Amino acid sequence: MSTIQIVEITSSDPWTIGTVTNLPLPKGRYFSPQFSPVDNNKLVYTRLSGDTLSGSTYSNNAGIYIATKTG
Amino acid sequence: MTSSGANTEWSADGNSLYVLQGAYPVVQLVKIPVDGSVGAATVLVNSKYATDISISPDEQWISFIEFNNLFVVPVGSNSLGANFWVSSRPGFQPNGFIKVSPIGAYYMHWAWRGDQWVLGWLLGSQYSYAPPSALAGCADISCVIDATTTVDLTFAAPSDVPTELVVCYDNGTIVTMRNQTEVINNGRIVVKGDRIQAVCSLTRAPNKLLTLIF
Repeated sequence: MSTIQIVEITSSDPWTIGTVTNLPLPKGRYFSPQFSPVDNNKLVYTRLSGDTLSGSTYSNNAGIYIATKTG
Repeated sequence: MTSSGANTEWSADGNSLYVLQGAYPVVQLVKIPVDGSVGAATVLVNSKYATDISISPDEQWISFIEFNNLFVVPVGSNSLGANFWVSSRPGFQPNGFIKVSPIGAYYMHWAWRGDQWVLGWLLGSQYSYAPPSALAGCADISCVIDATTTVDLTFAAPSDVPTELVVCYDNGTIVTMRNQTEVINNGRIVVKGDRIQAVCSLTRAPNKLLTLIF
């Protein structure tokens, strides 16, 4: 509901993962995070609006956002 | 970036996003600069009836889903822009139009495989992918099928089944599959093991019904 998790892939074994980084976000439903093909510090993601199944809670400010890693 | 849109993709140079905007049946694939220039969004592809439009990561192909089938067209053979429309309707097909899925497709996507981008999709338990360049010379669907790789994703797994347990779900509103209009208010569903044994109204002697079953 409020975090995009970024998982480092360190092995072809799907059960072995590297560092997990959390990108904290305001409460909401998020979808389709994708890194820029030329800049690993830029991540585009979608914040969903409400619908008939999930209701309207935490659905304001829906749209497409870009997060830029600064540190 | 924008308050509307779906199916986001980065441009190859990372300077723009491709976004599907509009509302079915009329949708557009729009290119939006990520520097936030207001009003700089440009429409590249329009469609009436497509449910998804995608550009390949190398920006050489436009794929779209229309009426549950997957189609692809080469970017280089068409003039993308506000006046460019994709359609599978005969007489309105774009240049180099190829029908990719023989009978249906869901979850269209692009994937890097070997040394090229391939177009992938799902249909039921089958995952298929094809390199669009191999489809480009195809004159009929059998040629497309020959250039497509299909993998059956079906697998078997053990599952637990309660063999003797009988459970009644009571006081439910049951929309049955009988007649298309039957709704049982205040109903009971009797389940034994992993199968429904009976469905009835609780206002009609449920104990008598249970006697009949067991």
